[in-house]
Amino acid sequence: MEITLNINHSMHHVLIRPDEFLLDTLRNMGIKSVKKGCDTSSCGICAVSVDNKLVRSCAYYSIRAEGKEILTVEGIREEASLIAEFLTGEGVEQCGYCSPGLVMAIYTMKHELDEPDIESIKHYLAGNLCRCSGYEGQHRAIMKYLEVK
Amino acid sequence: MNFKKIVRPLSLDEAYHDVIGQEKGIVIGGGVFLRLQKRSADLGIDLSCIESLRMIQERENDFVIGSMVTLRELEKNIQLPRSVCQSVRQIGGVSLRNLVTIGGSIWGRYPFSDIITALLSLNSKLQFFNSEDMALSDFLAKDKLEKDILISITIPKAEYSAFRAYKLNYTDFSMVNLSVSSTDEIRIAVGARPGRALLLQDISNAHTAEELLADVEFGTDLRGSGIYRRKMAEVMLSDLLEEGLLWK
Repeated sequence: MEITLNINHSMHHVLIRPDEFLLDTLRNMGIKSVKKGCDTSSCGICAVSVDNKLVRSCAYYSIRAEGKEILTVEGIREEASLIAEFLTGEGVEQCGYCSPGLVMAIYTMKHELDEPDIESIKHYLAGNLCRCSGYEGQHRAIMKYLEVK
Repeated sequence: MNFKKIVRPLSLDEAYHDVIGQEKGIVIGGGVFLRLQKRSADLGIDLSCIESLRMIQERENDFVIGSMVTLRELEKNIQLPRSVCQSVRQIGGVSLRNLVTIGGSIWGRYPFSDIITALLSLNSKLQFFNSEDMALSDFLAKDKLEKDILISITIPKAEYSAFRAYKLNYTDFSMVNLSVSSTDEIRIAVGARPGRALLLQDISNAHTAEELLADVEFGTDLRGSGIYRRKMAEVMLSDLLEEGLLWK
């Protein structure tokens, strides 16, 4: 079936299977920042923004995304670069596999939380698993990025 | 789960027609748990386009929550009884809670569910498209579910309510969970035992957490033993009861 998706500020006509998930649709279109991690909606690595809400694209039917605004790292290049600078500054960028999902989580968190503190940041990012960093560096980087005192 | 076709009805009439019209038709709520199942169906009926299922309505004595309201929306709604918000806070992560719906969580009757335990202690009622309204406790006790659509959940306003869960890590399934609420009476629910959540009966003569939980069966699985679960539940229930007294 053919659907029209608004991905990273441009419209795309896409042929999909009826039960296809957004993760596969995006990757088939060449948007490779969206990674397949656990593929069981457990790790948060495939997270993207749909209408400014963070969702796991491995469990989000592509047909549900019609008429919505989908954002991946490719659509927020400037902001993503800035976030990446803070992450690398704290030595967090190790294998890098979880980074696109983490960057999208930080991006939506910045727009969703009014006055984030360390506890609300930890709570918001609890679904984004990272097997390298141990999270402390991530939290330091995010605090600096958000200029949280 | 694989679907040969997915329809997106705009009204409940249309959706119900699809549900009863297909031998192998499956209603899709959030779709997260369905996704993990290794089976296929001819038709998936996606309820996400029906606006009336996405609302939270506050009335004088209760709240009516549409079955397609997500767990994240419940978490952020500070008007709802506290135990409801507490019970969803550690499920999966924000990106998961933006997908999972309250209706899907109830219809699945999952034994590990946190939200069911909270709703059970609040004496919640369920509204269906075709069937009569039903108490959540009756719904959980049913042997087999008829083809129908869960429309909404009614939650009475509580004088006091609280939820506790013991998890091995922050977003894990609960090893055991508990919820206490006080509306016209005090109600205590225990879930993830690892069996389906249940309400404690005849609690008027029991005075301690140990006495209250004496007849509850706790099982053993990979997450923990029945003995361990019981001990944790006793400690959590003591805390909740103490907290409840302070509230008054």
